[in-house]
Formats: sequence, C-alpha cells, structure tokens
Amino acid sequence: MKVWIVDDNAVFRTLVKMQISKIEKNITVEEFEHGKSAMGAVLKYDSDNQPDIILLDINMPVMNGWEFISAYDKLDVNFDRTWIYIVTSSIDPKDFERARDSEYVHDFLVKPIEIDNLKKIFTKVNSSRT
Amino acid sequence: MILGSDLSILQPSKFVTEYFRINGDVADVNLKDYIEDQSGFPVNAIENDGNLQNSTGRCTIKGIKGEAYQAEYFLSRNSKNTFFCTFVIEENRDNEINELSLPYDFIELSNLMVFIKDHKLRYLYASSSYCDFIGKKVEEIVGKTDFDILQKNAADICYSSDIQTLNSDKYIQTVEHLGNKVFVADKFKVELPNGKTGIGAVVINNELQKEERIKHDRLIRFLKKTNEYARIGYWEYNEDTNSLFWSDTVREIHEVDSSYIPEYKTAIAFYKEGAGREALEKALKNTAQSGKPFDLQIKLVTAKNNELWVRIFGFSETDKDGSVVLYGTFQDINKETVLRENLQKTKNLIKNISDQIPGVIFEYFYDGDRTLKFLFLSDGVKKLTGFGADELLADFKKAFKSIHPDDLIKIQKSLYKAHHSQSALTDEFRVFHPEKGIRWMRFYARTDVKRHLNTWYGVVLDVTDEVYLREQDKLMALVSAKTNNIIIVTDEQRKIEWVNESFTRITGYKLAEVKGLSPGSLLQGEETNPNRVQEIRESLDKEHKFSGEILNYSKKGEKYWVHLVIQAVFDDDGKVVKYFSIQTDITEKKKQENALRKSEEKYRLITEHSSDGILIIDKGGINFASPGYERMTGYTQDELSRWEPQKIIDNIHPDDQVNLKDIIEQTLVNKNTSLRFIIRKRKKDGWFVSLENQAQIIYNSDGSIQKAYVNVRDVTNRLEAERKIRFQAHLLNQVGQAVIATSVDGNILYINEHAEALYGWTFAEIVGINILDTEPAGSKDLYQSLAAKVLKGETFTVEMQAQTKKGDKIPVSATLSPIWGDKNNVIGIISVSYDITEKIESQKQIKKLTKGIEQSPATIVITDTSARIEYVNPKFEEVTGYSFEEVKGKNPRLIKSGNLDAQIYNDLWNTITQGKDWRGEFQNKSKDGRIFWETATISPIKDESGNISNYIAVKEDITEKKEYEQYIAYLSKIQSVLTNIAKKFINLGVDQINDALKESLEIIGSLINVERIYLVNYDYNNNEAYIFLEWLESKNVVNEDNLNKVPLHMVSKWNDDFLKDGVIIFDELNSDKKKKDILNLIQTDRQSFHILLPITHEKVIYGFIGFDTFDTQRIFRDEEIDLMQLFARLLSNLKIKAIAEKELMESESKLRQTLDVVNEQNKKLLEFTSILSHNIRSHAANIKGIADIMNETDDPVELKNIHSLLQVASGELIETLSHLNQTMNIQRKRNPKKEPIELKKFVQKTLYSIRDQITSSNTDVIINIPENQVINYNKGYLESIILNLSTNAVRYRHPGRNPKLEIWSEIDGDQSILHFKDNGLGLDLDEYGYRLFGMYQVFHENPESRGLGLFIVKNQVEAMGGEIKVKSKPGEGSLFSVYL
Repeated sequence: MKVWIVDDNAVFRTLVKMQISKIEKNITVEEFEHGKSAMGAVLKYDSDNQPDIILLDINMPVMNGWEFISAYDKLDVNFDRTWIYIVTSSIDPKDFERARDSEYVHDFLVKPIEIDNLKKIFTKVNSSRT
Repeated sequence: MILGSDLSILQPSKFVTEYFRINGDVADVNLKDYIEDQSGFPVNAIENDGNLQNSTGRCTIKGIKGEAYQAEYFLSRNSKNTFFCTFVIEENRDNEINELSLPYDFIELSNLMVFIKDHKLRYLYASSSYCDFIGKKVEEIVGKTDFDILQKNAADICYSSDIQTLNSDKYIQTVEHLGNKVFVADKFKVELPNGKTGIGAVVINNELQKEERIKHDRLIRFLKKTNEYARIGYWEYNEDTNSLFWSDTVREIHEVDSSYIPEYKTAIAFYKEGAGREALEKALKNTAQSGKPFDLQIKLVTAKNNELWVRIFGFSETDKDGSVVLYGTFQDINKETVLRENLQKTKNLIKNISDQIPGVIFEYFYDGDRTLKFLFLSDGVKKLTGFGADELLADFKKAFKSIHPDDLIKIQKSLYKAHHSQSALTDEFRVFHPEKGIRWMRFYARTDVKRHLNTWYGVVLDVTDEVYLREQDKLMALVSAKTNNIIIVTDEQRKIEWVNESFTRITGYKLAEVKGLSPGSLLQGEETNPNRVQEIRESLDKEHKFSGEILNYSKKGEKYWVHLVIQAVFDDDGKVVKYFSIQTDITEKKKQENALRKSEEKYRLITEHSSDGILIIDKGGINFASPGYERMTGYTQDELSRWEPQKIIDNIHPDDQVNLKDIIEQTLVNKNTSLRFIIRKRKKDGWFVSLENQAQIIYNSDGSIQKAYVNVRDVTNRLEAERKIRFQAHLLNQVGQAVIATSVDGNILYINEHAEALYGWTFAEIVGINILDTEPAGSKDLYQSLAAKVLKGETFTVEMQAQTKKGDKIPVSATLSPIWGDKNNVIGIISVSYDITEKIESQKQIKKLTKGIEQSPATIVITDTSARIEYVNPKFEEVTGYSFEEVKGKNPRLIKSGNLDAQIYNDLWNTITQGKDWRGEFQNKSKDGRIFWETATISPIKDESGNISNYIAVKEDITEKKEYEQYIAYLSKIQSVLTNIAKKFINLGVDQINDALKESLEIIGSLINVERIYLVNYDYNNNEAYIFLEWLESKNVVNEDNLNKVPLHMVSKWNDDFLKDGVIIFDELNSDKKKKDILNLIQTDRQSFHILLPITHEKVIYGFIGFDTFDTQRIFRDEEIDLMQLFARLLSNLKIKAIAEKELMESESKLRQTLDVVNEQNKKLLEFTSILSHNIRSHAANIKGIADIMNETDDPVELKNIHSLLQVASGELIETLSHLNQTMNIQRKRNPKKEPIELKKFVQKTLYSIRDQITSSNTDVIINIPENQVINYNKGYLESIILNLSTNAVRYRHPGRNPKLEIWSEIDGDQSILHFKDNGLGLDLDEYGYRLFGMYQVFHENPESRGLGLFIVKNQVEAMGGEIKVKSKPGEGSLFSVYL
C-alpha cells in the first residue's frame, strides 16, 4: 500500500509516519510539503505508482488542499484507485461542508489522527482492493 | 472487314462469301483436315495449300461435289508454331442477286436512294441514285463493304449504325457522313432470300442543313415513337435478380394489358406444358451457360387463349456485376404467316388471271452467258409443256429438254442475240408434250425499261394449229406447182375419159375405176350444194365456162373442196366433143375459212362475257368491232366503220406507229398468219390505252391481206397489276411509302397499296384520273411547275400539301422522278411520297423544345450513357465559358471544381443509372477558373425499350445564392461570436477579464482563421508597450518576445495612423518606410501578415490588438476587418468601463468608507478568530499526537526522535502566539498615533536596520524620494511597512539576476504614495491576487515564509486610512504601491 502525506507541518508528517510504521511495515509513505509538490507527483501517475491514500492538509503554502483538489479535478485522469482524506485542524464548518461536497474527498479527519483511526482506514482501503 | 468467324455458317451455300477462321499449329497443319474438322465444310482438296508462308494469298478449295471455291486467306502468326488463319471463300453471287433483283425495278424508276446489304454488310444491291450519290459505279459497290468503298471514318460510322440495326429490332435512323456529304438513312432489317438477315436502307435525301440534321437526329430520338414496321418486341431477363422485362409489343403479343408485370414462371406458363416449353427452358438455360444465342419458333397460348406461333431470339450477356442477362427479340410470326399467306393468295389470284390468257406469262433472268433462270411462270405452262411451273422454276433445264433439239440451238441464239441487242424477241419452237406430242410454241419476250438487270418477260402461246395450217398451205402450193391441179377430161356425154395422178391422189379413185362414169355422180355427195351442181349444168349446157367451188367426196367418202373450172372443148364444127375440167383442191383453204368462222363465233361469244375486244379489219377498214372493243376505246362500231385507213393509223400512239409498221411489213414478207403486238391507241376521251393484239391474217391468193381478225385485250391494267405484284414484295412497301405513277399528262396509271392507304383512293377508282384533280388548290401550281421540270428529266423532293379522297389535307414529302421510256424519253412521272404529319409535328415540337432549351435560363447538358457530352445549350457556354465544340464528347467532370466529396458523384451515378432522377448541388469551375455553384437535376432519358439512352442535366447557377448563404451564415456566426464575447464582458469582474479575453481571442482566431492574436498594452507609467495576452493556434510557434517591452516612443509612430484609419494593415512587405519600421518591430522570424487595431478612448491609445497569419497570404474580407474592429472597440469599451469603474469606486469609496471600515473590521475579526483557532489547534494537535506516540514506544532511539519533535512543535506554537500578539496589536489600535515623518530619511534609516540582508543578497536599492517630503504617519506602522515590503523584495528575489529594489514616492494632490518595485519572482495575480494579503498565505517556497508580512502591512495601511495596491508578473517582479 502506498500513502501520501501532504502537509506543510513537518512535525505532523513525522508523527503520521511513526504511527503508520506502528501499524504495518509494508506501507510506503511519501511526503509532500504542499499541494504543488504533490501535484508534480500526480502528473507522473501511472498504474504502478498511484497512491492508495492521500492524507491532505488544507492550509498549506503555495498550493493549499482545495487548490490541489481543483487542479486534480482539471486533470481529467481516472483516480478511482486513490482515496483522498482531508486531514486538518480547521474547525471551520465551511471546510467541512466543502469536503463533504467534493467528489474526490473520501473523508474528513480532524487532527490529531488517532492510530486506531488510521488502522480502520487501511483496513477499509485493503478490503476495497480485494 | 472480317466480321464473323462463326464456323458453323460455313456451308456450301449459294451465297457470296463465307468466312471462317482456323487456329492451329504450323507444324502439323493440314488445311484440308482443319477446315473439315472445324467447319464441317466438306473439302475435297485444297490447291496450293502449302503456301502458308505468306501472310495473305489465294487458293482454291474444292468442295465435295467437285465445285471450286476461290478463297482468299489472311494468315497471322500468334507464336512460332501457332497461327491464326482467316479464309474468305467466294462464290458467284449472281444467284443471290437474281433472287433479289425482281423487286427493285420501281426503286430504279423512282430514283430512290436505296441499298441492301447482306448479313456480312456487303452490298447486295445499290440503286443507281445511291451509286451516283456516293460517286461509284454499281459494280464497284456490289459485293463490297463500306470499308472498301468509303473513307475509313465514314465507313466506321456506317458500320456502327449497321451493327446497331442488326442488333436492334428497331427502325434505325442514322446520320451518315460520306466525306463532306451528309445524309439521313433509315435502316431496317431485311430478310434475305438465303434466310439470313441483312440491312435495307432508304436514304432520305431531304434538304435539311447539316446542323439541323444533327439536331433533328439528336432530338428525334427523344421524340420518336416506336417503330411500326415490325411487330417485334424486346425482352430481357436477369437470372440473378429474377427480373423479366417485356416491351409493350411483347405484352401485346401475349394479349395482356400494359400494366402486366411478367415473371419467369408466369411467362413460361404461356407455353403449353411439354416439348415447346421444355425447348424454351432448355434454350434459355443453354444460352445463359454457353453464351450462344438461340432462335426458337414455338407456339404460345395468349392470355385470351389464342394460339399463335412466336419466334424468340435470345442472347446472353454478362453485365458489370457479373450476373448473366438474357435478352432478345420476340416476334409474332403468326402475323407474318398470315401476311405471307395473303401474299400467296394474291399471287394465286394473279396466276388465275394469267391462266385465262391462252398461253404462259413468264419472266426470266438471262445474263447473256450461261445463266438462265425462270423468275415467274403462270400456271398455263403445265398445259403447254406438261411441266409444272414449280418444276421449271426450280430447273430451267427441264424446259430446254422439252424443246425440239432442232430448235434448241436456234432459241439459244435468239436469246443471245436479243440480250446483246436489247431488242424484243419473238421466235417459234417445238416442244415435246408428254401427251400431245410435238407442239409449236411462239414466244414474245422483252426487257423492261431502264433495267440494269437482265430480266425479260413475255408470253408463250401454243401455235401448233396455226403452224400446221401454214405448213399445209405450203404443201398445197408445192403440190399445185408440181401436178398442176386435178385434171379431168370427159367426153361429150360428160363421161370420164381421163384423170391425172392428182385426181387419184385426192379422190382415191384410179382412172380405170372411173372411166365412162359421170364425175358429178361419182364425186358429189349429200352436202354438195345442188344449186352449184345445177349451176354447172346450166353453164355447160349453154356451153359457158364455169368457174366455181364445189364440195366433193372422195372414194372413202371424205369431203374435199375444189375450185373448179370446166370448159367445153369444141371440135372444128363447133360441136362439143369433150369437157376439160381443172380442179384445184381448196379443201385446206376452206377448212381455214371454216375454222376462222368458227373461232369468230367463239370470239363473239367471249366478247359478250369478257373484256376482250374483237376487231375485224379488211381492205375497207374496220369491218367489225365487238362491244368489248367499244368499251376499251369508247368508239362505237358505227364510228369505227367509217374511219379511213389513215384515221386508223392516226389513232395509234405515234411511238407505236413505226413499230407496228415494221411488224406488218415483217408479217407480209414472212406471210405470217398470226401475230401479236402491243400498241397504244387513243381512246375517244383522248387517253391512251395499251392494247395487246392477237391477229389472224387471211391472205388473198395474190399475197395481199384479205382480212385480219384481231383479238384485242386491254393490258394497261394487267401490266400494272404485274408490277403491283412485284411491288408486294417491294421495298417501298416495306418502308411504307406511297407510290403514284402518272402519264406525262398527269393521268394516274398506277398507285400502290400505301398510296391507297394514305390517300384513301382505291387503284380502280383513281386510275385514269388526272393527278392535278386530286391535288388541293394550293398545291396545283407547285405540282405543275415541278412536273414540268420532272418531264425534262429532273428529280425533286418537296414537302407539300396533299389531299385525300375525303378532302383531308395532309403534309407529305414527295419525290417526283421521271419514268424513262425505251427511247430514253420521259414517259411518265413517278411520285414517291409519305406522310410527314408526324415529322412536321415532331419538328414543330423539336422547334419548340429546341427553342425552350436554347433560351432556357438554366444550363442544359445532354450526355450519352458513358457521360460523353452530346449537347449543351447556350446558357452552358455562357456559364462555363466552354463552347459546345470544346466540350462535345467530353465528360462533364471537365468543369468539376474538385472541392466536392467524391461521394456526391457516386450517389449521383448510383441514382441515375438506376433510372431515377438525381437532385443536388455542384460546385463547378468555369474555363477561366471561376468557382460557381449549381443546383442540378439529372434525369435519365429512356428509349422505347426502357433502356437509358441519355442523361440530361438541368442546372441553375446558384453561386450568388450560395455565396449569399455562406455570407449570411458567416455574418450570423460573427454575430453569435460577438454576442458570446459581449456576454462575457458584461458584469465581468476585474479579476475575470483575462479569462474572458483569452477565450474571446480563441473564438475570434478560429473564426477568422488567423494564427495569432495578441493584445498589447501601453504602459504610460513605464513608457513601454508589452504583450499582455496572446493567443496562438497551437501548431504555430512564434517568437513571443517580439513585442515585449517596446519603448512607447517607437510604438507611437503608428499612433497617427491608428487615430486616422482605425486600422493598420500590413498586407505586404513593401509598405512605406513608416510601416517598415513597425514591421521591424512586429515581424517574427516567419513571413507574416498583420492587422493592427487600436484600443482607444477619447483619442488616448491604450494599446492595440494584432492579428497575424503566417506563411499564407491572407486577404481579409471587409466584414472580417469589421469584426476585428468591433472586437477592438469592445476592448476599448472594456477599458473605458474599467476606468469608469475605477472612478466610480473612488467616488463611492469616500461615501462608503466608514461602512467599509466597519465591515472590514468585522471580516478581519472573523478571519482572525478562524486563523487563531486553526493555528493554535494545529500545534496543539501535534503536541497531543507526539504525546500519544510516546506512550506507544519503548525504543530509546525512537524516544529521542520523539523528544526533538516535541521541541520543534512547542517552538512553533510559541512563534505563532507571538505573531498573533503582533497582529492583535494592530487590530486593537483603531486610531494609532500619527506624527510628521521626513519620508526619505525614515526609509533610509529603516533599511539600514536590515543592511546585512541587503548587502549579503547583493541587492541594489534605489531610493527616489524628494528630500523635503514629510508625511503624517504612525512611525511603528511605517517602519513595519517598509521592513516587510523590503524584506519581501530580498526574500523573493529572482535567482537568475541581481535583486533590485526601487523605492520612490509620488504625490497626487494631498495623497502621498510610496512605491516598492522589485525585480524578483513576482506573482501571478490572476491566481493568487485574491489572497495575497490574507493571513498565513505563503506563495513561494522560502523557508522563512510565514504568510504574515503582507497581512500585517495591509492591516497597518488600512488602519491608517490608506490602501495598498500591487502589480506583479511572474518571473518579472512586483510593484507595491502604498497609499499613505
């Protein structure tokens, strides 16, 4: 399984990596500081390197989460394999609504992420793969 | 030349020439075997057959019966060992011609141009007029083909129409060219005597001009009705589609109505089950498989249950799709049979008539050599010779065999002599009658006038009795001379003393028996006239000489007549001593007289019942004329009897007087007692009648004529009737032309059946009437004037009005020709005419149609089925620029523009070849290259059989319409584009302008088909022009920098032009100098064409829009330039709108300032709250997460990592809180303290505090602020503003160049503006502008970025009641303007 963490906060990224390594060793994690660098990787997508999960922060420099999603939208590529989770500390209801309405966003998580929640997410993704 | 190679036709037939071809191997060639094997032709030997080395040669082929055929062969080698040889076998063609010769007399008489060709297209017959027309002699034509006698191209034309005729059941009208001569020939099939099909043609020599003829011919095909000459239908059967086609005639023959649709099964059901039906099915199958044609005659049961015989020809053909199509003709031969029977009946009728003539009517052919053949014999021949007419027609030699050998040579000599002198022939000969023994025959024969062919006709009469009488007469004379009559000598007692030998020979009594007897008692019998006996006695008693005739009886009791002279012989005393009697036997003479008397009685009887007349002529003139003769001549016996001899002679036609005189003289010399002659006599009404005279002549003993008994027969009608018979089979009847023969005076002598049908008169009614009386008033003069010329030997064809018996006027075409007499004099006029009502109607129609077509505003093109142009009307010439001569024979694709899809043409052909009309539009090209549009309706034209013969296209030039349509479409497109674009710009936010413009450029670019559009803005602040928006057609790449940052003073060069014309067009490189300079600016490295349009408002140019095309010469249409101008105006309006909005905003801003501040504050508060919670939460969440994971692990290494992570997280939290504090300060201070600040010093001082950053980054700072400028401002805020904006300039510097920061001030009224301009990374304002001044917004990947600087600056500026504006371009730098 392949997981991307898109967040400008290095502490958060390290934290999540630690949590993932606790759950399963066989998961590759890629980190991106903001939407634009993640977008650069998206453009190189092919069937092999598509991530299964993107954990996407909203407030980021250069390209924030929503900008990432709208750029993603414009790409017109089949991203069905990839499940995007918004991970934010925002409690702005607008963000929540927007996440709910977006067809690309699989779920909306509020920081910090509990390790059990991560486990559930991976189980879900795994089961959907089989 | 060699037209056929069907080996099966090579039979030893009597026909002229046969061809066959053989293929073979030279190595083992045996011509004899080859010919026999492959042709079935029995060959006895081939002479000089080894000589096949030559490519052509002659050889003689001997048939099985020893007959020799001359053959010509043409050899060609296919390869070394195989060859291909064509033999042309020739034979005497006389027989063939003989059989054909009979019907053609009238053609010659009528001067019609007629020819007949055999099945190999060789001329069998050509009328002399036709020969004259093509300038050849008849012997140069007959037996030859057109290829032998005509120019190649003319022969080709004739050949193709011949073939067409042979393959068609129709009556073909063709236009043929013989060099510079053009004629119209009506061709039709004729059945030759050999059973094969040849071609007959009547050449119509009318006066139509060449072009008119061609037009006529062209159009007549569309107008002409089905030919009426043959009840022959056409059928076609496609096996694959199982579709059967019947022409109307086939339907008629089947007696089904015209809507009947035949199918194979139903068609076959018309034939009775059994042999006939099987034969047909077999033939169809066989022909379909083998391709060999069939010819069947089978019995059909029609829909109305009538049985009739039909003849079906079938051929097969494989069409384009590969399916086999059977087709052929269908003929009702029952009709033909009936006709044939009718003809036979008529012939029989004529035979019956001729049988009443005491003799045989005959017609024979004699070529002056060895060929002699009867053509016609009346049935009387059986009585005369014992041979039937059929036998003798089949074998002439039988007639010769019956002739007495002594006479045969004499007859042959006579024939030969007559042939070479072309004089009438009369001779006598003996024939051996199987029952009656030797009979004497006399025949009279003569040839017809103006005859090319050696045909003789005449009469044979049995003259046996007459000859015997004559012979006996001669004998008597001999006897008389030799024995000097009967001599009887008596004594005075009149008792016989002596008789001579003659007495004994005649009476049978010898002298001893009769001596002493009285001659009277001895010789006289019961029939002896007692009065005559008494007369003799009285005469003798008176001692008178007696001379007289008396009937005596011989010893056997046979009566005999004597002429008797008795004289007394006196002694010297005058006393009668003896009587001397000389008697001449006049028995034969008496017999003759009696016979004559008897026949006279017979004739008188006949005259009462027949039309024959009897005339008895003696020295006194006409002694007797029978009622028949009176009827013939109109004179009564009384009148005739009073005629002087000269009057009798005057009554005879002057031309015949001399002939008659010759005949009579000849008769007198030969002392003929019987003669026959035909003379014309003038009737009482002035007209001549042809009379056949059979005269018996009684001579006086002195050799003078005593009496003539003449049997007179009116043969005028008979002669004509004979001709009429010939006419039955006559070509003229076949082509349906009316023939009228008149005398020189115009009296009608003869009309044929077609004339009867056409004019409504019967032959009997009209004969003898003057033709002028039948002509309508308007035509009399014309006829008379023509007749006068014809009588001088000329021939005319005129179209004139004729009148029927009923008085209806009909237009006819009449050819008037002279009839030539024996002496090359004109003896009458023959008129050949036909009804041209239809022709005139069709001509009228043609005229109308032609006129319509020629004056049509539509283009009309007529092609043949291969799409070769046959006709175009003047409109076509006008529209396309091609003349008819140029396009004639060419394919209409000539004018294709080439821009249309091929599918259109495919559809077109698929449609019309199916017989349907096609409608559509074409784009075509004229001769001079003009493109034009046409609507076209293309229709197939079908001939009588339903086959497509031509296509006609009617087209209308719709170029204007089309162009107009396209123009309208273009305009409406432009309109909609403009509407679209305009819509975009209505209620458009400033931030959306660029997007809208981009889209608009693309729309316009693709609409007007340019490759590049760019908008150039004038930046008066920086005194330069730059492209701020550009659209490129993707495939083209240009140097984008050519118009970037052009100093305005250069651009302004064309401002005058802009303001004056509104548009500058660079359509060529050789523009004037000013333009050249501009071109240098705008020209890319590719040759291009430009249009520049200004964006102006109130004479201020804000920029311009440019349209470029590359590599192609593009001429813009006016409306396109209009569109560009509209667009430019739209952009101008947009500019104005922007300016107006700006002004509006400025004026409004003051009014709404307070409210705005409140709103702004509220907004900021909300934003602050949200950011606060978010940022704090974020750090808090991290810390909680770290705490959680710390509990999960015991690994010391990991724990160490977690620990340092915790330090980072807490540091971040503290920093955030400090920022928040800062911000809170600004937010809190609504009215910060203001104090006067010397701006320049303050800026310099503030920058000094960050001098390390400036110098280490090598930033070039230029400050341009007036020394004395003082502003009233909060020092802390101003310091913060300067620091933030300056450090941003350093922080976000461009990696590729030395950073540069310009700071200058501007005073606009009481407003001071402080500008910070850098040459750093810049920002895409379209993308980030709206959140540039937001909190925690980071746009560059710089580790020092916190996203608070501009947020704080903005808040501070606004807290002071000012504003901050930004201009930026990615990669170029930013300009921040602070309104203090």
